[in-house]
Amino acid sequence: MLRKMWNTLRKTDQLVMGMNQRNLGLIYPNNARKNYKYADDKYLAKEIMEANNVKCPRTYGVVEKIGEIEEVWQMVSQWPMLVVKPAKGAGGKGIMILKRQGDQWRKGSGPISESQIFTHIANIIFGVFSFGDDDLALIEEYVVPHEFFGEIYPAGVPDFRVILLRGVPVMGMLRMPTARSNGKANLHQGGLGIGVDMETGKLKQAYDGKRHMATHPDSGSVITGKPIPHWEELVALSVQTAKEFPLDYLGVDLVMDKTHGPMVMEVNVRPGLGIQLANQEGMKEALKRLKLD
Amino acid sequence: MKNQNRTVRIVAFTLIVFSVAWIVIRFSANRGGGMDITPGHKYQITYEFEIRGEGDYWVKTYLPISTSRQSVEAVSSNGGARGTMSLNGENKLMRWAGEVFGVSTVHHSFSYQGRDIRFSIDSAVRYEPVFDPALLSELSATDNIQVNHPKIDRLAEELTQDEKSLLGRLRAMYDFVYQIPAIATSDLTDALTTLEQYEASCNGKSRLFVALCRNQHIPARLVGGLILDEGRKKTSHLWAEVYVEGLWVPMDALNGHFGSLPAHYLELYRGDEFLITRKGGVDFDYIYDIRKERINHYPRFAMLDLWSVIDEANIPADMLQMLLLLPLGAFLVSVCKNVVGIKTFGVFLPVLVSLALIQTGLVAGVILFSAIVAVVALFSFPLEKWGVQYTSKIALMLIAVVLTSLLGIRLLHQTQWLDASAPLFFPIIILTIVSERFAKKTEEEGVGMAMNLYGQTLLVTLFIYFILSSTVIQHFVMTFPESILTLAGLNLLLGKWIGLRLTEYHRFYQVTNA
Repeated sequence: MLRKMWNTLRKTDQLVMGMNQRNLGLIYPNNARKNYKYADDKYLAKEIMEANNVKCPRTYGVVEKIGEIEEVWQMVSQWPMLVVKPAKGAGGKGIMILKRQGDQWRKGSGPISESQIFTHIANIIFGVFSFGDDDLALIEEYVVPHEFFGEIYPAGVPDFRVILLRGVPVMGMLRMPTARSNGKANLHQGGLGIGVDMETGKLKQAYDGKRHMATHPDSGSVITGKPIPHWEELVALSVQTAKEFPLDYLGVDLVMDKTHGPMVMEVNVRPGLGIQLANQEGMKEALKRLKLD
Repeated sequence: MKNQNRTVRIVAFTLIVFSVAWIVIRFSANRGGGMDITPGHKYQITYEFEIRGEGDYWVKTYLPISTSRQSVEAVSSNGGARGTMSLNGENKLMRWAGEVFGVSTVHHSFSYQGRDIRFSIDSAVRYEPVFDPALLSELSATDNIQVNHPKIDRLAEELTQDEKSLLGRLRAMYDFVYQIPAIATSDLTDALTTLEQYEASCNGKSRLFVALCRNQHIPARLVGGLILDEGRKKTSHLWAEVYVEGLWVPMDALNGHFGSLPAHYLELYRGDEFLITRKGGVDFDYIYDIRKERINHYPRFAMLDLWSVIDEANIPADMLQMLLLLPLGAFLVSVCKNVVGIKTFGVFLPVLVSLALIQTGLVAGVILFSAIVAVVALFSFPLEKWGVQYTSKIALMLIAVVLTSLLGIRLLHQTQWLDASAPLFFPIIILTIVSERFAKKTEEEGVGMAMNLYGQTLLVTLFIYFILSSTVIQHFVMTFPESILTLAGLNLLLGKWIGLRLTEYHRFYQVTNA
């Protein structure tokens, strides 16, 4: 009994990447502090991506000052759907998805007036969503989720996370909303983390923060074994992203558009360690396998 | 990378080995201290007598003797007079005699070092009147201790009639005397006068207490001495001792010491005596000059002798102590976070709060702190809803903390539950930040997660509180500030530690259990 527990502990120690080693062994030596901004600031990230033809949602407009709101709005309001987001926001805060029906804008299910939209943009610029730092508002193309996701669970916007070390994809995961997570795909907000077999591009089991499962808890659709469409392209895109950013250890967050396929949403210098639970594989194990340790 | 790690390790070990070695050297170079790191005080007392006039004179006074509680050493005696010592019962009486033409002075110095004593009288000890002839003088009436006066009789009877235990009787009599209003007078007040006037200084109160005890056939006696406060004073002090199961137990019904005596009470004589007697016909003046000196048992080879700095620069010891406890507290937080894996609101919050708890008391402090955080966190929700920007929001929440603290002071003042100043011990900024983070966590991840994180924060705070509130540790860091370098080395090692945190074994066990 005790021996078994001891062995489990030793095995965990050998296979699993903990917070201390992630910080000291991966983040600090591979990423210069001065380059964190390219991940933390979505505007700078987009500048890099657009300059290097990394496929990402199209930027319709950027509002840097309060005085520019109406001018930029004139330009972007021709699009039927758009997303307004703070460049330095974290955890999905301050993101507003807008759809137009004729001249009327709608947010979620309810109508929203232009002046309400302007107030929201002004709040972004004031730093309401970025701890008081001056910020700017990005207005982007709305990504229509690929049918593939709808087959599993039709609500919310799922995304992929690929962690790369020195340009080599190490682990991947698909994050999916559940009824419990309220449209959000984050693991600690009740979303599902689904492991991905990096070789085959097939989904492994799902993890909800407590248990592993083979089907989606709300829809019952089978997850395990399902192949991800455009997998090769998705991996190639994450590798391209890693090459263009001055960050050697990073998490690339990708979405999959119905018509355009994989696109990069943002990059992350401190990708979480929950990905190991989704994959049921320790990151030390994965690094060893890839001879990156 | 490898080189870097080696440099860090070398620096860390150098810091640790150097500072630990230094502490060991200080331990061995200051043998006198043994393992005692509690700083005490040493006093030098000088009797300064001045005699003016013409002709013969003599002055008599008591000199302290060493006992198990106090140790006394003569330092010097000078002046124009011959001194002769004699024993008067248990007391040591010094008599100086000489001739004066104009002004003559007598200076006598000695050093004193004492300790706190505290007796606890078992409430199971039954009251038995004592008729031991050996204690006759401690049971008898005198002119100023009117043991058998009808008023004393009646009072003693009233106070003690329902009390079966010795402790109960002593308590009742002591409490009565303690509650008599105190006045500052050096006039001799006898027991009966004290009762009739219902006000007295130390000597009246002590005589009344002794009279009541003797009335009940509990042996009791007066003790004269000085309360040692640094400076020059004329006031001496009188307290009492009662005989309980073979021991003389001190009772000071003026300053509220029941069965205890603080270290700075110098005992000079026993019995109802005058501290100074002298020949008339010449002018006489006197003063007691008292100098206090902190004893640091480890003065040699100190990088910084903080105890002497405190005395010389007049720095409040408790504030300096806070400063010295911070590094230890911060180290403990990093152990909790990086080794154990407990999450907290802010890195230094638990340290600052535990230091505040040392001032306010544990349970009351935790309740008060949590109450303020909860109230202020509530303010955050409308502010968030109205889209108030971050800097203004924090400023508004700070105002809420100040108002809540003021309300707390008002309520505590009314209810007397805690010292009304208790809310002031918590750093206002810390309260603000915790409240804001608590509210944010609640909004983002629900009340459950916010409470969970708050609970973990409290856990770390309590752990740090229990370590930092230990007087041994407090005295250690003050006596050996070199230990901060040890902590620096340990922190450096910890900052390079890549092992799994204890909680991560739990979090990730499913990874390997597949």
